[in-house]
Amino acid sequence: MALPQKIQRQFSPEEIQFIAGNEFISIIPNFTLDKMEFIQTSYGPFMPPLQAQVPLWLAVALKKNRKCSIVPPNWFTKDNLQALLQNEEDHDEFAKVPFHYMEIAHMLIEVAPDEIPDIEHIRKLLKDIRECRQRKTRDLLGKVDGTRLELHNMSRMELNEIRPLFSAAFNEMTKLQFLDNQDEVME
Amino acid sequence: MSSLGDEYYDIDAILAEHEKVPGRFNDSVGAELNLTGEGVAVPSGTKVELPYWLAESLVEFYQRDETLFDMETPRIYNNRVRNAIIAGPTSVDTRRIHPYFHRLGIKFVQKFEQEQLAQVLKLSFRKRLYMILDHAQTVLNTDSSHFTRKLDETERQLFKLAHDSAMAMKSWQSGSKPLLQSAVSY
Repeated sequence: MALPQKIQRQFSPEEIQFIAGNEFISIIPNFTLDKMEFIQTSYGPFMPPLQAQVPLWLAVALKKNRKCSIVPPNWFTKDNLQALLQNEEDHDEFAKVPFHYMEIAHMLIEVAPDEIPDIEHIRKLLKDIRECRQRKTRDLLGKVDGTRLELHNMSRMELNEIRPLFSAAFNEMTKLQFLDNQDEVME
Repeated sequence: MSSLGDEYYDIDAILAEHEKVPGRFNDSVGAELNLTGEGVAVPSGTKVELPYWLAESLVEFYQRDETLFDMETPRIYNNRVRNAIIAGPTSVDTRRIHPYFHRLGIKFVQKFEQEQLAQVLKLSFRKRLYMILDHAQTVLNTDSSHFTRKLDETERQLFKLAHDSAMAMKSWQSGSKPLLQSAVSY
C-alpha cells in the first residue's frame, strides 16, 4: 500500500471525529421545513419550537449557518460530568462513557459554545476525565500479558489512540508467552 | 523455515542475529570449512564466538548423539544483567547492553526454551512499556533523545508509535489542523 505508515496503523483523530458525525443529536431549528431529503434517508420535519433529531454533522452545518440551536446531550452537563469524574476517580475500572464522548464534546465546544452553560467548567472536567482515563490506560498496559486484553468501556477515540502501541506490545508479549502455555498443557 | 517467518527482509532481524555468541565445537571440523581464512582445522573442543544465526543452525546438527556445537548463553543475558533488570527494570540502559536486546532475547528464549530468562524479559518489557507510554503521553514537544537513548530498537519503535498517537491527539484537541477536506488538485 502506498499510504503512509501512520495512516495504515490507525485512524487519525479527525477521521474518528468524522465518524462520530453520524451520532444523533437534538436541535431546535429556527426554520420550518417538511423534511430534508438525502440519498440514504430524510430528516425532519423541522417545526420550531419543536426539537428535531438529526445527525451531528447536519446539526453542525445548520448551526454554522445559524439555522438552529443545538441541545447538548444529557451527559454533557456540568453536574453529570462532575459525577462521571467522581465515578472515574473512585474506581479502578473505566467508567461507562458515551462511545463517542470525546469527539462529540469537541465538536459541541467548537461550534456551539454559546449554548453550553458553564463551558469553562465543562472543559476542565473533560480534561480531568481524560487525564484520569489516560492514567488507567497506562496501568492497563503495565498488565499486558500476551494472552488477552480487557478494554471495557473505552471510547472510540481512546481505542484508536492506543491501538498501534497496544497491538505491537501485545505481539511482543505473545512471543514470550509460549512457555507458559506449554506448562499449562503439561499440567 | 519457521524461524525466518516474515523476517526474511527485516533488516532489524538480520542485525539482531548478527550478535556473536560463545560456544564450543564437539567435533573436529575440517580446514576447508574454516572460513576465517587461517586454513587450519578446528579440533573438537575449540571455543569460538559465532554470529547467532550461524550458531543457532549449527546446534541442530547431531553427530554420534552429540550436537556438533554447544551454544552458551550470550553474554548480554548473563546473571549480572538479569539481576540488574530484576532490581530495577526501568533504570537499565538496554541499548548499551545491546541495541537489539529484546529482539535477540526473544529469539534465544524461543529457540532454547529458557524459562527463567523469559520471565526476566517479560518483567523488563512490561515495566519499561509503562515507562515508555508514560513518557510519550506526558512529555510532548520536547527533545526526548535523552530518553530514547536508553531504549533498545524494539522499545524505540514502541515509543514512536505512542508518541505519534499522542501528537495526533494533541493537534486534534488544539484544533490546529483543519478537518477532513477533499483533495486539492493543483
